[in-house]
Formats: sequence, C-alpha cells, structure tokens
Amino acid sequence: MTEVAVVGFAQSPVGVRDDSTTSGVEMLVPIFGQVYAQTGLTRRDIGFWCSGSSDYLAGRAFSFVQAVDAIGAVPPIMESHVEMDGAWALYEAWVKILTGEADIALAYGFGKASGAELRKVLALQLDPYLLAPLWPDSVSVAALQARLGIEAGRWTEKDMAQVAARSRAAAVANPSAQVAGEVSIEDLLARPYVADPLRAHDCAPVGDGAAVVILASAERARELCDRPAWITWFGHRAESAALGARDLVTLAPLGPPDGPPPDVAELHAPFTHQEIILREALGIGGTTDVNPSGGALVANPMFAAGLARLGCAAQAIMTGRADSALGHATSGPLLQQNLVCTMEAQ
Amino acid sequence: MEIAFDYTRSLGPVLGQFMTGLRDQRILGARAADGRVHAPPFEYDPVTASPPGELLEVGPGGTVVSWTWLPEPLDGQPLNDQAALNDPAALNDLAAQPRPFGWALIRLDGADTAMLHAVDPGPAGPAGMRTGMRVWPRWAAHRVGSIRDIACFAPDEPTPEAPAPAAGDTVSDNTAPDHAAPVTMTITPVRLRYLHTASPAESAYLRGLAEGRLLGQRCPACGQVYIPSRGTCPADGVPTDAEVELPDTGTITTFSVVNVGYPGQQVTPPYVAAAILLDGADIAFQHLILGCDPADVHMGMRVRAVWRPREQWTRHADTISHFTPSGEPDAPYESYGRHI
Amino acid sequence: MTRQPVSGGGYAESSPRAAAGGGYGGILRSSPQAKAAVLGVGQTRHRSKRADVSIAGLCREAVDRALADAGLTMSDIDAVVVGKAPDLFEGVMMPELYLADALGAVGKPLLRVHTAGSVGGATGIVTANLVQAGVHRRVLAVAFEKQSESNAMWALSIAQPFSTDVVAGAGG
Repeated sequence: MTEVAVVGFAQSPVGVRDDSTTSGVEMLVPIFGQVYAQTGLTRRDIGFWCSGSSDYLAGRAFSFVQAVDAIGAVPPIMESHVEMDGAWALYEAWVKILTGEADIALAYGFGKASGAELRKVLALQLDPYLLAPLWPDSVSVAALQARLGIEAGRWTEKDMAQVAARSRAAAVANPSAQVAGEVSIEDLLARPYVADPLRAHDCAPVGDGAAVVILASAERARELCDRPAWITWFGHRAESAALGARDLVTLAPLGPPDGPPPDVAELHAPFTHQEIILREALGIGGTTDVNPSGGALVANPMFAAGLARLGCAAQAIMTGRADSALGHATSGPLLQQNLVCTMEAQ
Repeated sequence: MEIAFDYTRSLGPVLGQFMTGLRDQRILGARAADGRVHAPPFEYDPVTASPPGELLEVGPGGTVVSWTWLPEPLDGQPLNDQAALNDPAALNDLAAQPRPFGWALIRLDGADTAMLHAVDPGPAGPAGMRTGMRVWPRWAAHRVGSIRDIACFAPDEPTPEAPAPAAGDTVSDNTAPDHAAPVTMTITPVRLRYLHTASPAESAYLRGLAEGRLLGQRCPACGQVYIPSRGTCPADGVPTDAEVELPDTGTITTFSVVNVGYPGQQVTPPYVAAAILLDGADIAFQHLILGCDPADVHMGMRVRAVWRPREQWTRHADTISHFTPSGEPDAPYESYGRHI
Repeated sequence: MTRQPVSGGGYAESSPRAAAGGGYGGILRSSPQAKAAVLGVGQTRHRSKRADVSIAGLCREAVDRALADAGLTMSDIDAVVVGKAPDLFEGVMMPELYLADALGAVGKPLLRVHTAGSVGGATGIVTANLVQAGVHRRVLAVAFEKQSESNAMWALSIAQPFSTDVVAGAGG
C-alpha cells in the first residue's frame, strides 16, 4: 500500500514575462489559487512548503525568500528550499510526509530565465577551476554531447529533429507551452546550426514560469482528489561532474528496476538528443506515450520544468488519461543528476 | 544590473600542481585507481573518492573526440575576453566583430579522459573542425596559473625548430613575478548581466515617486498597508491592489549605524540606515537618515522625507534623498512596537 | 573591520534501526517512523581564509573527520545532503554538482538544502528526515562556506535597481 499521492498540479503559461520580477511572486499566486481550487484546500491546511529556484538565475542571494509572499506566512509555516529544480523540493516534501510530520505538502518551483544571460550563468555549474573560467555556455556543452552520440551511431540529426517535431505537435494541446505547432522534419533540418550539430529546435526555449504540486498522505488524499496519483517509486542519482571522464551518451539504468512500462512518461530533456538518452536509461519503449505535454522542449521554466514533468505525469492519472505514469527531472550539466517518480491510479 | 567580482580561489595541493604546470607550459594528469589517466587531473577519484598519487605529464598534443562551433560567442569566452585584452585596437576589433571559435573535448596524448577547451582552427573556420583532428595548446603570453594559461588549442603542430610558442611571446616567460614558486591561488573574474524588471506593484510605487507621491497597497483580507508593495500580502498570500496614498512623515522603528565598508556600497560610511514606518503604513522600509548626529537617532524618532529637487524626480527610490528628524515629539512605543 | 569567518563542517548521521529498504527509492513503509542517530561529526578549523585547500578540499577535511569519527567509509554512505547558503559567496552555481566526486556522491542520491541563514539547521533536519522516513540508512550531511573566495558582505548587499540600498548585508 503506497502512502503518498499527488492530489493537485498547476503550472503557469511559459514565456517572456515582462510583468514579473525575479522573485517569482506574480507567477505563483494564480497557480496556488488553482491548486487550492482543485483540492478545496486553503494555505492553512498545508503542513509543509518546499520550493526550488536559483539565486544565480535571479541575480540575488536568498531570492527565494521574497516568493514566500505568495504563501502568506502568518501564522508561521514549516518551509524549506532546494537550490535545484522544484522536483527535488517535491522529493523533500514526500520525505516529510513519510516522517509523519505533515500530511499535506506543497512543492513549487519558479524561474525567470529571460532576465539572465542563461547560457553564461549555467557555465557556473561547471568545475570552478578547470571549466567555469572559460565560460563554456550550456548550448555548446550540450552540442559536444550530441556530436558524441551521432558519431557513435546512437542517434542522428534526423532522430533529434523527430523529437522536436513530435514535441511541438503535442504542445498544441498544452496551454502552458511557449512553443507549439506542426512542423516538418525537412523544414527543421534545413535551419542553421546554433552550435553544430544543435539547431534552435534541438534546444529548449528560454522563458519564465512556475509550477506547483500538492502531495497528500494516504489518510487525506482521497478527500482532496477523486483519482490521486499514488507514488510507487521515488528516487534520484548523481553522476560524476568530470565531463571529460564520464560516459556522456549512456546513462546507467534509471528508475524502478522492474515492472511494466508506464502509460505516460514525462521526461525533462532540455535538448532533443537527451530525450533519446533518457528513454534508453529508463527502458521506455514504444508503448509509452512520451511527453504528451510537449516536455521541456516546448516550455522550460528553469527550476520548475522538472517539477512540471512530475505534475504533468500525475495529471495524466488524475484526469483518467492514464493508469500509470513516470515523471523525470534533471539537474546540472548534461544530465548529471536525474530524478524519477512513478505513479499509478488505484 | 551587473554582478561582478574577481573570485580569489585557493587551489589546494592537486590543482595547485596542475596550475603551476600550466604556468610552466606543462599539462599534468592523474592516474585513477582503475588505471585510467585523467587530464585534467581529478582532485578526488570519481570511483574511490580518494585523492590522486603523483601527477604525471601528458600531451602537449591531443586528439579531438568531439567538437562544436560557436558562431556567436559570449563575452569572456576564450578568444573573446574583452577584459583580458590590453590592446585598444584589438578591443575595438573585438567589439566590432566577435571571434567565433570551436569548443572541443580533447584527449591529450597519454590520457584516457578528455579536456574541454576552445579550439581555433585558423582560417579554415568551422570547416577545419573535425573529430580526430590533432591539436596543440596555444599558450597565453602572460601565464599566471589558470586554465586560461592555455589560450586555446590549435592544429598547428610544433616542430623542433619552432616549439609551441606563447601567443606573441617567447617560450621562456619572465613576466611572472616569481616563476619558480608554486601557484597556490587563481583569480576568476565573474561578470553577469541581468535585466531586472519591476513588478506591477513596484512600478506603481515608482511612478508615484516620480510624481512626488508615496503610494502603498492594502490587503483585502487583513487590511494592512504595505509600502513599497510587492503585490501580495506576505501574511495572507493574496494580491494587494487597493492603492493607498501615504504622507511622507513617519517613525523610526529601528536603525543601524553602518561603520563598515564593502565593495559595491552605495553610501560612504558612517551612515544611519533606518527602518521607517510611514504614517498609515503597516510595514517599515529602509532608508537613509541624515541631518542629525548618528548618535541622536533612536527608536520612535519622528522623521520626514527630504525630496530631491522636483526636476530630479524619477521612478527610483532615491527621488527621496533621505529622511531627517521632523522635530516632533517621539512617537509612543505602542504606535510602532508591533511593526518592529 | 569585520571578520568574515570561513568555515567548513560536516556531520554524519545514521540510524542502525532504520526501516529496511536499501537503494534509493521505492520505499513502502508500513512501520512507524524510524529514529535517527548521529554516528559521527567532523569539522575543519574555522579561519577567515583557508589558502591551503580548494572548496572540495575544505569539505573533505570535515567529511573525512566525520567518517573517521563514525568508523565508516564512503561506501557505507547511502546518500549525501549538501547544505549551502548563497552560491554567490563562492561563485559556484549549485556547488553540490561540482562536489559530487569529492563527496563520494557519484552513483548516489545528492540533495541540496538552501534556506538562507537557517541552512545549517535545515540541513540537519532534511538529513534526519531521510533516515526517519526510512528512505536511507546512512546519510552524510555536509555544510560549508568558503567566503574568502569573494566578499560575503558584497554578496549580500548587491544593489538592486530602483531602490536605495543602505543596508550592509549580513545573513538572512
């Protein structure tokens, strides 16, 4: 009998938001309202809050503190924060419920990438002595990984374009997507490289957004949601930071070691070739609907996109479109850290 | 908005050796427990987490195992570091035309892992980049013990007659103050630009200031008035939008005399930073107190705003230059004690 | 003139009675919450400048002492939690990523805690919760700062556009 379920999820429309500050408050208030409406909860019912965001993205130390305005922290709340994608905030919230210290938790993530020099900022994730001083931008580093796979015969530029085209087509049905539409492979492949072999469509768009997920214990979940998404497996793993020493095209197996493939998988792949790597590591084959939301390639709010993948996977169950789902999130350069959460209906 | 700092990094024993090697035009690697040679060296083995034994020399040549081409480089990247260029003419050239280059993973001779660095293929441009090409380090003219002592890699093979030169300099570099002492520190400048946006609530406050008005917002749930508003009531988490105009007088709830200097400071110490509760507001904000001896500032002191001349009013908080004692009797503690 | 302490510290926590369920996920817990106990602690000497170590080296000094105190090796550790307040102090974004190898976290779960000035305590809470929830048996918690890489007061007092920043930052 599993013990924790997702009972609510909302995400903001993703795009360049001129009307919001780096604190993220303006993006959070409406989506908090949505999950409260979904579940019938108020802020006072939430036993634990946890957020994911980045000071470096915001250009300010402790930038996440201002976002607490969106919560309403009087009376005082139990709250924590990860300087990682909100998916890890959800993980911390899951652990909190397992301890019994809370029975309802809310995890949120937000990021305003449009205000930062994103490609440059992300270079600061790299080794501070050997790499960061060169400012290897995030797209160039991903291009090096993409080329390794092409030359090893693992994927082609056409395979990559297919991931992009499929994602954009799926995104037509996703009101939160920043990029959507039908586009042909030939059309995509005719476009210029931004960093050979990556083209613009191979890279996630830069935008601003936020996501929120509510978790509940077994005792509370059924009163809050008709069809909770019960968490059956939740884990994460880090790889070596040494990009020149690590195998960049193959990840050791991720996720639960056995069981049938999920009906739906939402994978946090900011680059097309990375979806291919993840599918293999997760053992996801043809029967699973991958990224029906369009995934990160159509909307990639930094520090919320991974949480949004988990939320979209849960939503597929909560809306009855699927009986089982897998959500994945990544952190760091070139899929250095990966988190997987599997869920099912009961 | 720019965040800029020259970080001073201590290297420790392994990286200290590596950077000393770079200064001296040698590239060092480390042998892992599984026998693989890592270049650059690891500080801690990825498998055993142990530090390496003795470092060994690798390269200087290597083979490209993957590459990409960057047609639109970013400032600060190799071959495009405006701050590092001393020659004004070169700086002008760079401003006019950033210099595209290639990134590559390079396996140095004798190493089993790859090093990520820049490659300048020369006049061939991107057509000159390919997996398997042989490259050698092009050393910076002035080396200090940094990964940037290698300016980039290039396909120019050094010959006995012409060993790999430093860019525009001879092999023996006497510009380092003491080139025999080991390198223990490295300096890494970090410069990032941000586009800061004022939220709708903050914008309303700033527009008010430009008109000589102090505008706060009221929470519909608890009725508290916030200035400057951040758009949401921090106690209730609901949007505040009812505009409330406030007078420019208030009470000091608490204060600090700043005596310490730090980089980026906007006001020269000593100065008084105070939390000021405007009449009618429920939250204090920070501002400068001038016009009295800092020793006279106290909690409960009544103050009024000193505005800049009208023609200097802008959408910026310093439209109010500072607050100054108003001369009124102190406010009773009960009137502000809840807002400290 | 203020001193800016540079510190590194590490704590290891473990529970010999944690609920079964090795690996790093998929815990089905049906027993009451497990208890968590501290098995060992280690700290560096706190100095305003440590010029003799890299950031990884600073952390390892504390980690190695904690492991020795606990009588454990890195292979005994199931997961690592890194507590670290603003990245701006050291100029490394999400330093747990760069530190994965140094902390023995390759192939393991690695979590980062950043709750501003309360990060030390919050790191302890998160680490204890992982054991109490039965998710891991032995977790290494590492909290560090190497403020001498930059200037902490600068990092906490960066002027924001449109505002008069008169405050000299000091924690949060």
